[in-house]
Order: sequence, then structure tokens, then C-alpha cells
Amino acid sequence: MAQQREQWGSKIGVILAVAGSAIGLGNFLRFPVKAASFGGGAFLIPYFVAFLLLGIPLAWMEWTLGRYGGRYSHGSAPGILNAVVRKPWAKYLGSLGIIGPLLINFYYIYIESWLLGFAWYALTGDLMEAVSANAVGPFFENYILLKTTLLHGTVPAALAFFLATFFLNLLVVYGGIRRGIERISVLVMPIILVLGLILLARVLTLPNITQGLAFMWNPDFSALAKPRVWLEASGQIFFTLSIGIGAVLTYASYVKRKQDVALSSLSANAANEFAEVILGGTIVVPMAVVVFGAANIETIAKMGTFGLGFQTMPMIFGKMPLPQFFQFIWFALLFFAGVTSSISLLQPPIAFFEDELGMKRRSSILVTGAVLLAMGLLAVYGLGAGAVDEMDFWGGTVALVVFGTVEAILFSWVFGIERGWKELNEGSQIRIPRFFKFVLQWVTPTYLVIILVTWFITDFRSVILLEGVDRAAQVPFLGMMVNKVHFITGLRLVLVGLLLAINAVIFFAWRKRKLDDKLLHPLD
Amino acid sequence: MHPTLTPGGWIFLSLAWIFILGLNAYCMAKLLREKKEEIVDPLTNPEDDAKP
Repeated sequence: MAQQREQWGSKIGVILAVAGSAIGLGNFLRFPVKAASFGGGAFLIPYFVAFLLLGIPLAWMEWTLGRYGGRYSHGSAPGILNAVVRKPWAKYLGSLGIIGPLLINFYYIYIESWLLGFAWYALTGDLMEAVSANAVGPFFENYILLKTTLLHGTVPAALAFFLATFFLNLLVVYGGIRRGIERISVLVMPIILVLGLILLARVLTLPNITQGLAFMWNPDFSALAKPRVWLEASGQIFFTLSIGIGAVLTYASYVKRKQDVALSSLSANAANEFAEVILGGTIVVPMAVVVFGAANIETIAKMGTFGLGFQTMPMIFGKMPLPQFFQFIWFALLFFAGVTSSISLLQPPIAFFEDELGMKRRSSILVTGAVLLAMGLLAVYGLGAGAVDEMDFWGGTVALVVFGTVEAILFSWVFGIERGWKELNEGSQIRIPRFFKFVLQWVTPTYLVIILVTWFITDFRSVILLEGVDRAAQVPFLGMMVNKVHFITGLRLVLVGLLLAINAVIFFAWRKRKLDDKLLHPLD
Repeated sequence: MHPTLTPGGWIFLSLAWIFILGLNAYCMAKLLREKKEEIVDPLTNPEDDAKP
């Protein structure tokens, strides 16, 4: 007998929660840098092709599988895949849908906390002082490397803001699906929209803005001949729609039995594209070009996503009227976008403990929080040693594509395209063109396998063997200098251990269930 | 380096914005037009007449 699970209070609630999960730092920082670097306006061709053939179909698959699993009281990948495939091995593949979101959150909450810290410093004027002194670079570095302190030098500021952000996230998920995640999403998503529109209006009223837009949008068609551009566009779609992580799968498991998933998924994706292409594509790069000139934009782009978000943008706003106000709006926008993403990444492991081990919500949050805090502190203190880059690579790149490929194959070939198509269309408020049935069955899985195989062929060996890393390089960790290769190898062993531990818990959860069933039905 | 938006740039910018705004408008319209529950009055249900 399946126990009663929580459900979303409204359809708009789940759409805003999924859109919130998707809209994050990547929309405002990663996308514009990718587009400007890989063909400008022409980048939009592979980008929208990937959106139609990869993003929309895979999101539909996740919503469908999630709702199906929820029907059997499973809200996390191991349980959902077990319900879908009904073979013992399937639940172990689901461990990817637990480790992925955990890995991302290990560092994501720390980065999210920088945004809270910088929003604070924008209000206090400290950030503007650094901009005026042309020292925003050292200001940022001192902050993230724990050299900036609060409370008369007793607490590193970055640590204090990290703990505040960490507990804020736990507090939201403690409220549950309806009272926590849905309520915060319904409240925060309109705020993100308003803040984004304020910045958009500011950008579009800048003098010479067409020069900035030109850098971002003028097409370079020669880029289309390069396979890397198509790969980057596909990667961006994966990253931006939060697919292959397990978060959408879990959120969809709380959807009502016959509630629409096709339109809800499409709506969440459409909202994400608004934030990415219209807001993200117009704000950052065009502004940087107008303020610093096109000649300096390549140097700025080389500063990477964080350099652009935490150093360039405060400098840009510093050259405008009301600098502190716009600096605050910028960091508040990114912080709110970050919170709605990180809470969605917290829910899969919590749902796993609740649904598969029968733990209470409070205990599930305590266990998840303990793991997250331990590994989060590793990200805080190991940033200079490369811990965040390593976690981002395995969680934010590899796990996504591998798990997305697993989902696509299981949906189309194991669950079966006929059943899958019927399940997707059940309760649907839109008529999905039959063309997508073909896409779901053939194009999306093939597309993903190609991406995965290409990555294995081109990068796997060099990544595993740490080629390109200086064997003698020393990096700071917990006040000591350690060998970089040793540090990364050690961290990888910890991550492998974590994956094995998740699989062990899956094994014991199913064993416990079998024993419980035998006790309840001894004659079966 | 183009000093300003070329016609190609304007076309890509406009098409992308139109596509995304159109998709959002379509979804919004569909969401607002919720399926109404079809409640059939038992007295007027033709299937009831067929029952013995």
C-alpha cells in the first residue's frame, strides 16, 4: 500500500519551482560568454536546435518519469528508475541522480553565498569603495580566500555568509514541498523577473548600446562549421534546463496523478529561455562592451564567469548613476536565482531518505545537511586547491550528461516509446506534435550518446590521468601547502567513496523493504 | 569587428526574442485556459436512460 506523499499546491507553483531550478548563474553569466565566444548570433542556431531536439524532449522525459515514479511513492532517481524498469540493477543507475545534485550543491551553495556577501557589501558601500580604488579584483580574491573578516576580525566573512546561506537553504526545504519550496518559488520568481527587467531597462537605455548588442548578436557563420560550437551549444542547453541532474525528476514526482506534465515542462523551459536569451543575452556582455569598449572585451571574457559577475559587473555599475543600487540589484538577482536552484538540488537526496528509507523529513534533512556541510567546508577551504573546479566538473558536467543519457535510453527503449508517449500525453493540456515521438525515440538518445562518446574519446584519458597538471605544483589547503595532484586524487577518492556509500544505502533500503514486506505478508 | 548591429545581427536578435516571447505567450495562454471539469447532470446523462 503506497503511503500518502506531499503534492504541489498548484500547477503554477510547480512550474515556477522547476523554472527556478533552471534559472541560475548560468543564465546570466555562462550563456552570454558562450554565445559571444562561439559565433555571436550564429551560436543561436545550434543552441535552438539543441533546445528543440535535446532540451525539450529530455525535460518531457524527466517530468513523465518523475510523475510515474511518484505514483508508486518514489521521489528520487533510484526509486523512480526501479519503478520504471522493474529490474534490480536499475535502482543502482539511479545513484547518479543522487550524487549529481549533491556534488553540485557542495560548491554551489558556497558560490551562492558570495552573492549574498557581495549584495551586503554593495549596500554598505564597501564594494563601491573597492571599485573607486580600482581594487575590485583583490577585494574579490580576499573575500573568496577567506581573508576578509567580520566581527572585528574574528570570523572570515565568506564563512559567515556561507553558513547563513546553507541554513537558509535547509530552512526552505524543511518547510516541505508546498510550504517551503513552492512558497519560496512563488515569492522569489516574480522578484527575479522584476530585478531582471530593471537591469534590462538600464542596459537598453545606455548610449551606443547597439555596439554592445552587435558584439553579442552579429552572426559569424563560419563558427557553424566547427563541431565544438555545436557541442558547446548542447552543453549549455543541458546545463541551463537543469536536466540530467535529478531535480526535475524529483519535483515531478510530487505532481498529481493525472496532472499535465507536457505544458508544465514547456512553460518552465520557456521561462528559463526568457531569463537566458532575453535577460542574460542583453545585460552582461553588451554592457561590458559599451563601458569598456570592444577592444577590452576579450580580456574581460578571459576572466571567466566569476570574473565577469563579481568584478566586471560591479565596475560597470560603478561608472553609472546610482552605482550601489544597481550593484545590489545585480547580486540580489543572482542570489535569488541561486537559491531557487540550490533548494531543487537539495530535494533529491532528501526525497531518497524519506521515500526509500522511511525517514522523517527532519532526519532526512539532518543527514543530507551533515554530508553537505562537511563537503561544503571542503569546497570553502579547498577553493584555492581546485576543489570547486573538480566538483563542478564531475557534478556539473559529467554526471549530467551520463545520467541524461541513461534516462533517455531507459525512457525510449526499456520503458518503451509507446508507453512513454502515452504516459507523457496523459492529462496533457497541449497536443504534442507526433514528430516529437520520433525525436524522443531516436534523436535525443542518439544525440546524447554522440556527446558522451565524443567526450570519452577526446577528454576522458587526459582528465583521469590529470594531464596538464604540474606534478610539482603546490596549492593551499587548510593553512598548509599540499601537492595539487595528491589533493585532486584524494578528493576524487572521497567522491568515489561517496558514490559507493550511496549505492550501499540503496542496497540496504531495498533489503529492508523486502524484510518489511515479508513481515507484513508472511504467507506470500 | 562590427561597430554596430548589422542587418544579420538585427535578424538574429529579433527572431530569438520573437521565438521566446511567442513561446512564453503560447504557454501562458494555454495555462490560463485550464480544462474545465465536465460535470454531467445525472438526469440528462443519456447513458443513464439505457440502464435497466
